[in-house]
Amino acid sequence: MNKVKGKDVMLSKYLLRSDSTAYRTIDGIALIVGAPEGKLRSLNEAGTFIWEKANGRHTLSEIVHQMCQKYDVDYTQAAQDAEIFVHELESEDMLVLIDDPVDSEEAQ
Amino acid sequence: MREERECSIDAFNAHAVNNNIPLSVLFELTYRCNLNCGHCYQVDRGSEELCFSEVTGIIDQLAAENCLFLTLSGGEVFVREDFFDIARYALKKGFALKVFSNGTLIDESVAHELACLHPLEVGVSIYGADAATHDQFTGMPGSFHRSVNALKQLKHQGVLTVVKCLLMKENIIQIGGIKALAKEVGAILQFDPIVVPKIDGNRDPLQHELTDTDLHRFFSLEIAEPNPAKEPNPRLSQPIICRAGRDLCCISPRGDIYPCMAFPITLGNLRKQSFAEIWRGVEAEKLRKLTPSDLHECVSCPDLNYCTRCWGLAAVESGDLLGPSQINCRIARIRHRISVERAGNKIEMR
Repeated sequence: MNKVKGKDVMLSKYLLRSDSTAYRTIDGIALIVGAPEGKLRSLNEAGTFIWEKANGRHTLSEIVHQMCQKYDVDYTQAAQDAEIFVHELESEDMLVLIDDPVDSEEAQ
Repeated sequence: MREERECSIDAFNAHAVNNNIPLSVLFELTYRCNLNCGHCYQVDRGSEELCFSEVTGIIDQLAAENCLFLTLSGGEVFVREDFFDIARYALKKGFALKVFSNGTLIDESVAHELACLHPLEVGVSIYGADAATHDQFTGMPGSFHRSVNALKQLKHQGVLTVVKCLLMKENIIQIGGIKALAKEVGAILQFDPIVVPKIDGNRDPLQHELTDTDLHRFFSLEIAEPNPAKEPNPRLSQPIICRAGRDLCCISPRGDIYPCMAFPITLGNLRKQSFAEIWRGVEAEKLRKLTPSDLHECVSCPDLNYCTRCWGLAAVESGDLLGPSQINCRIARIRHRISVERAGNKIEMR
């Protein structure tokens, strides 16, 4: 089942890339490395879109809405996929979900 | 949203190699060092080292070129008072950091500051299983205890540590002890059996290099499969035979760009040109066009399939980038011999 616990809550959270990750977007593909294990991840175009927006200033819901506009996809399905994706990266300590937005000066 | 397969480091690197993306850069921040190791390949190549603003300017350029892995090295990086300012700047620019050090200047406080950088690893040089052996190499009494303490402090802070041990004829008998030490401090252990001449060709460090017997023992006991190469040797059968100058390079404390830390050919200087100009410049392109067919002897060598030929080593040893590397030849011969021995045959040691 592609279901994430507390998914309605998740959509209202702000996404922030973890301090312990580094990344580059090369040819539209984000390549992420997480310390200290040096775990590597490559993201597809949609995953890269979310990752690059994860600066602590956008909720997941806002990001999904932006994604729907850009790629002309259905919100419900996109939100479900995005929650699964975010849940995975959160469980690997690559993304952090926070209640309040970070100050613009702090945003990565 | 994620690709079905995890991106392997091999696939990651292959993309960078094929597109000349300098994914990994070793930045030597200083030639200065508080130790005096006779086997060190470094020489102070004169002129003033890059100041903070020059270093950060270069870091900006590397970020723009999609460099992701930045290794800060020396000399000894912690003799630079602005090391943490540099490292924090690099972190802010999105780099995955590694730090190479001799560890002698890493105390509890420094280890804590390092941990805050979330480094992928901190490599610490260890040259023996005990103080007497290690300190004899470094020329500094007490350096062993300080380096081992650094490893413990870093581990305590949750930093992944690597014991980097250059094997020499004086410490080869301590392999077991060094393994035990690495285990005790919770570090990954990397042995390097190749002592190289200094980067200017000075051969003094070679007085410490392993004998053929030592190398045979090392590759027999430490390398489960002495012949990882499939026929034909992939390192010499493709146009791209080395990552130096393709997805990695080395920047000296004076701003020179080298294809890698062991490669004595300068591609350009960052005080005179931008990184992009040098990386796409004539010298870099010339290097990238080299193929196995340009080599003088290696392609017809009977030990070819056992060889991990290094262009830089060949150039440092003889000044001939296209000639054989003596140490690589010796190791290839020994690996060939081990392979034959394991197959139940005999081959004469040439």
